[in-house]
Amino acid sequence: MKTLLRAALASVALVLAGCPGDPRPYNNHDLALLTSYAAKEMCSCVFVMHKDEAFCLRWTRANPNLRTVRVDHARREVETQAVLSWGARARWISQREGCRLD
Amino acid sequence: MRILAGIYLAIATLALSPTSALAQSSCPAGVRYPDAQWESAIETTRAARATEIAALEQRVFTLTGEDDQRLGVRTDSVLILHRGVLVYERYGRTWTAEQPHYTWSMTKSLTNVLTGIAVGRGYLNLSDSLCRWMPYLRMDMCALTVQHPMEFATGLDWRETYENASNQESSVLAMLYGVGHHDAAGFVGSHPFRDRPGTTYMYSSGDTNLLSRAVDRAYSAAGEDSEYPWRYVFDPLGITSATLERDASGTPIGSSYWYATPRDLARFGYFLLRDGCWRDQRILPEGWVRTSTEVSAPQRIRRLDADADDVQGRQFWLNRPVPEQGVTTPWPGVPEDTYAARGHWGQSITVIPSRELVIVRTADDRVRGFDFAGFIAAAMAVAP
Repeated sequence: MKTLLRAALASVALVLAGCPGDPRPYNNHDLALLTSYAAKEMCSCVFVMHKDEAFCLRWTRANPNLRTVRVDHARREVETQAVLSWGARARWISQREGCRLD
Repeated sequence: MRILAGIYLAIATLALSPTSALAQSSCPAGVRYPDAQWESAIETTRAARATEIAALEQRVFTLTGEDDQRLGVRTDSVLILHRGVLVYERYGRTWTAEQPHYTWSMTKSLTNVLTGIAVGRGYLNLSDSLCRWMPYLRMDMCALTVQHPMEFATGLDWRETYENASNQESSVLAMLYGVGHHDAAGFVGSHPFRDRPGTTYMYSSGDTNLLSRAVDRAYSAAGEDSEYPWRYVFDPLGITSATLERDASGTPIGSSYWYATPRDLARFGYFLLRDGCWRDQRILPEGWVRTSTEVSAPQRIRRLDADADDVQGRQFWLNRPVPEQGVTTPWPGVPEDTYAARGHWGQSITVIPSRELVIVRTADDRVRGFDFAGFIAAAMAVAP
């Protein structure tokens, strides 16, 4: 059990720190990319393409699929979160301009 | 007095020349265009081409495994348009005719068209330095002209990888979702040069967003508001479903974020088939489509990271050989004059001028290996 917990903690630490072998030419965290991707594409999927939420969740699934997604239909916004503090928001602007990531 | 009148006339002609040149150019005569809906010959084609349709559907509408597994060929729609008449239309995987579909890199061909219209109206020149439209670019970027990103030949050190490679190495993910997402063109412009401009071809969504910013600034400088894609493309073509998303700077994400229904995507293809005309209105300068669908000069010099079927004109995929690079026509069984707007996960608007065909496919192919040439050949067999 302890070994399992240690392994789990080590994986979380790895995700938070990023993989040491990555060349990292850009200052992006994987979880920032993941939550931003999910927020922007969920927003466009629901509010531009008019697909249902279940379809859009499948469509935006990425590896690792750590994000949670909240779709606010009244405000036409999508907020995503992953592991503690990582998160993003995208908002629908108009039929012509679609969605934009904050 | 006569001299004065002559001078006035010359000034008036000069002032009007970009638009009047467009208006006077010839458009193909005796051509059918759709009104609110496409004319349909779907029923008669279904009866006459049952075997060919079955073969096409076996190829593109047969799903593999559970949806969640994302395996095999995953087609969302196929439309075939022959001489302006819809001869085949089918949707898949819950998609309907009313839902705008993502296009990913098919947006690049729309950016080409917006560029062509701007050139035709005299708003910008392909030979303009990018610094004319983006004076804040660093000094060495001023060597880039509008034509360089048109031909994926900026020589910027860009990494066009998507979700199947390292997220951290991908310039595209950084531009759309990471450090570059507020200002795509600014982000692209921050990259160092890998090669001298114009000496190499390397497919780059970054190049297209540089182009999109230059073109957007040119429309703006000419006094046009941000509705220009509707004013000059979508509205004249009767495209009512279009969305073109922008970054926080207000520039269209010209590489990736156009959405439209497949029937409206077919309008775009048909407009290209008709040489950039819609009815008797010449929207693109004469010869623009032809030049855009010729193998670009940088392709003939040096190709970097290019697959065998990656032959490009100016933001279009071509079925042309590049003998200088030992590349043969990439789509066997398909006419050599075929060209296509194509996008990630299997999107395509294919135009075959010699057959007067437009073939649209939207999809969600998550594994590589879709036989594009086989699909086009099978779709051609359905048309009369």
